[in-house]
Amino acid sequence: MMGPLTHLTIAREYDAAHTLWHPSFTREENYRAFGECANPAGHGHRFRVELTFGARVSAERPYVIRRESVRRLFDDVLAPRIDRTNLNTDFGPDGFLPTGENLVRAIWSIVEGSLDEDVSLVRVRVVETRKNSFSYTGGRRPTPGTATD
Amino acid sequence: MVYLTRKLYFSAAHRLHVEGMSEDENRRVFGECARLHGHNYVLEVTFAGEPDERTGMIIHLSDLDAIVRDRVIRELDHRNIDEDVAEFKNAASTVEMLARYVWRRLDGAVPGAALHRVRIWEDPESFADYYGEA
Repeated sequence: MMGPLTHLTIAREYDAAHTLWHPSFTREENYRAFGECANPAGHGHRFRVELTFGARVSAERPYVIRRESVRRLFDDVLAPRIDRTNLNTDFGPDGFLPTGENLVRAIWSIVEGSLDEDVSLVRVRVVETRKNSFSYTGGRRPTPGTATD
Repeated sequence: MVYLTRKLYFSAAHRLHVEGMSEDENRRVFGECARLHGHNYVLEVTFAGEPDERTGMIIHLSDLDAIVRDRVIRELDHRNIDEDVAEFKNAASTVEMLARYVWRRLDGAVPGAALHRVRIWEDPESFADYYGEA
């Protein structure tokens, strides 16, 4: 099957606190699983969230997605959960463990459920630090050399 | 197959506007981008090919630069895209449409290498990718 022909990626940065601390793990298990990220008092990052959308563009539809829709997703849908929040308690649902892996999948569901125009979500990427980034393509295999790899 | 990506830079003015749409509709679709403004664009061109046995290269970068400068950068750099580029007189100069424009200018232009992707960054938070018609 031929995929959408143009991808548009828009990024936004949010400041948030989190800790990787599984309530049902012992203290030792938490430190073993999550290392320095397991400080129970929490720590924080400036998270960069990149959303990639795909659609066919033409003279009649000269954009992949309306910029107003992108603004709404970042400002109205994602910001209340991620910007200046504690991801362990504010992102939801209760008990959510805010690893990068869990964040990209949760953001995927939230964004896909909020799309109200004819455009497909291609990739969600979260950059946690200079060393760590996570991406999710909806369970599809990424294509080498594209925005999804 | 090896993918080679080269970055080039251009700066240009534009506004997002579709002829035939009312001012209100243009504002709704394009927001503040409906006003004339400008960007420092970053163009990434990715070519796929087999490296030459002797040189180890798909294409010499200075040859690649010359082609992209001649076919693309010269047309866009320090221009008003909507006024100065024929393809955008009647089409909105979104970063998506620019990516397709650059693809059409470069596809088949580099001997021995196939154009794989055109990526254009409009600002550090936005880029469009185009992979051709096929």
